[in-house]
Amino acid sequence: MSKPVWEGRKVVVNVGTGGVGKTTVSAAMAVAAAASGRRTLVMTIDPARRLANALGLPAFGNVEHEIEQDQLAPYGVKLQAPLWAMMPDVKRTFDELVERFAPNDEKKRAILGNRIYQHFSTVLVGSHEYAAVEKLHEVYASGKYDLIVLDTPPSGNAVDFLEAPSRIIDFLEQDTVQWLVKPYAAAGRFSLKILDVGSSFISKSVGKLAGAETLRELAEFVLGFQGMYEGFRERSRRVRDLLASDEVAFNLVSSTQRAQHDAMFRFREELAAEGLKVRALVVNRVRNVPPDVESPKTLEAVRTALKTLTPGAADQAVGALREEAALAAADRDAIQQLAERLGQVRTILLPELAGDVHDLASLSALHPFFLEGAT
Amino acid sequence: MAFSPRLRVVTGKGGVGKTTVAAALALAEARRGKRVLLAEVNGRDRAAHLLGVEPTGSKLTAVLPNIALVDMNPRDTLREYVLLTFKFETVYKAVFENRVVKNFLRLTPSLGELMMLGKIWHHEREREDDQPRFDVIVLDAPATGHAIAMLRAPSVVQATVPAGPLRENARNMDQLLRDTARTTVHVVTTPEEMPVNEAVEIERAVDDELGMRIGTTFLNQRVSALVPEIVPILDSSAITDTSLASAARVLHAREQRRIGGEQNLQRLPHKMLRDSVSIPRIVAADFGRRSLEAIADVIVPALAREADQ
Repeated sequence: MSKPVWEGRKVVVNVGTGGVGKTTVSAAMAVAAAASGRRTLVMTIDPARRLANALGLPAFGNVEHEIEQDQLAPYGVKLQAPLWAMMPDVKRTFDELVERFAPNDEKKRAILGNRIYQHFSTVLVGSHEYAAVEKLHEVYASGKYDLIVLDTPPSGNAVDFLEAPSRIIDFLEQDTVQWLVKPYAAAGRFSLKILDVGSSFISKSVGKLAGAETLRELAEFVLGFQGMYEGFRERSRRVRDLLASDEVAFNLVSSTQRAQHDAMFRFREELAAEGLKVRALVVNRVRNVPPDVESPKTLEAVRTALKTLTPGAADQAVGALREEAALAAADRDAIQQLAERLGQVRTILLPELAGDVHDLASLSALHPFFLEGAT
Repeated sequence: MAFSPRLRVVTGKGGVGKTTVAAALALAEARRGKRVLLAEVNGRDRAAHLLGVEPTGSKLTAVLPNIALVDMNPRDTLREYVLLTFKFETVYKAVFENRVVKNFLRLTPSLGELMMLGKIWHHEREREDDQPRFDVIVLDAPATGHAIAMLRAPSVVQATVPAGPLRENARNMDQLLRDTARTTVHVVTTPEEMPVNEAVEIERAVDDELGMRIGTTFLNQRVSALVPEIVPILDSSAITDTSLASAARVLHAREQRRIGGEQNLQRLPHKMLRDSVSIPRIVAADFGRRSLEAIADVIVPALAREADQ
């Protein structure tokens, strides 16, 4: 029997594309960890509130929310340690950062009131990822939890959330951005006075595309962040160190759909390029059908049993059995191919359940698969 | 009068079959004799794979009779746009391939989305021999959240970007999107809980907030009901014939899932359910062009019915 995926780790990061049930997988994993005695927090950045739905909770905000023992008890799950869930809000996380690092009230107000900043979270690539790792660091540093399960934002790129913090800071801090906005910043608010030929050529061209006023707003935004970079950078460095440390395990989450498999392969390569190893591949919603359901003998028995019904009924039953068997076979093939491509990666298969997998009953049904540690 | 939209925006939760439906929709329109542009967004050429044609990338290419295909991405679309605006490749290279400017453009509210919508807008107006170049554009839009962000982009730009060419473009696009005679949004969902939740979410955003038209909804991978007696009979026969036990169990689980799925679908707004098309689940190891044509068979009659909606 293999050890649980969180064995010896304090943080488990689940990565995958959208639509594979990453949130469900993360929540079931967290239930399993709490059931085996780890004080566990599951975190997601997800505007669609899947985690709240899955845990049967109303929306919950930037603070952790405890899942009570008696919510899970009816489904036969006994938590041996507390379980919390958290859904960091991207905008709030940034606001908190600004409030913490702004050198003075004036600067704080200027940033919070800036139009570009207000759309920052919806606009800037990586802001969700930034908020995720920022919060991760905060809860990790609190020391309150034995284990944090992080459900990363759906992404086409496994390392987005690793790179997001430094990318955002690099962008804001780099001399060249300052250079781009210099004509606006130095020449006073609305003037386009030429200070630097190269800089103003580019500024004017961009201004022609986006409107000169946009540049002014941007200048205000970028300048607003001056003086805060060191604080941001320091935190980003710590997050980065944490993610690269032995405390953290990375899992890939996939469905059986072949379309996702290229992404899994790519994610693994991207993580490897950062020196990060994938601990397990979790395949969600695997259809499982006993092999004998479409044997000639079974199908014959089905036809015999249903002969009192309309002739169409037996055909329908046989057709349905063949279809279920074909779906299961397709899943088996897909998983085998994926496992072969990924090589020596431990695989955890979660079965498709009869119902939908977004409530406590389903999480309870899935959690043992993380405890048994089946192959 | 027949409803004949110029722009069909296809969206839904990730993994529900948006690209499949969008491609089948394009085939269906082409069968009606329309000249179709099928436009993907960051699609990694999935539509091309499904249609069994050469990948086009971001280069708009005629791939089948009456069907042109393009897979847009913000970067190439911006480049195209800038070249249209400035006319000089050298300006583009000097200015827009500058690392800082690239970052700046990422920071400008909704610019990437706006650029791609701008391309759609451009092709909608494009004329050849005094006729529209395309009769209909099928936009295989991103998944729910990103699709809503994309459709919202023109409003965001109008709210955040001061007067200038960008804002002017945003206004034009907004007009196209909100013109219910020209633009319609198709939601794709499977009978699962989360896809249905997102379908409801899209409907709310599109209908209430953006004031756009919701067209035919596609209920993908819908499973038809078994004759009700089948499972009970197999269950009771299994007592004497054990070979039936797993068959009974498998069909029972299938029915449970189907019923759960139907209950999910019932949560869709009435109007969406009424104007919906069910696409049966297709189990094919080689899902491709042939499967798409089979789905187009189901879509064609639905397009004819659209006029009455």
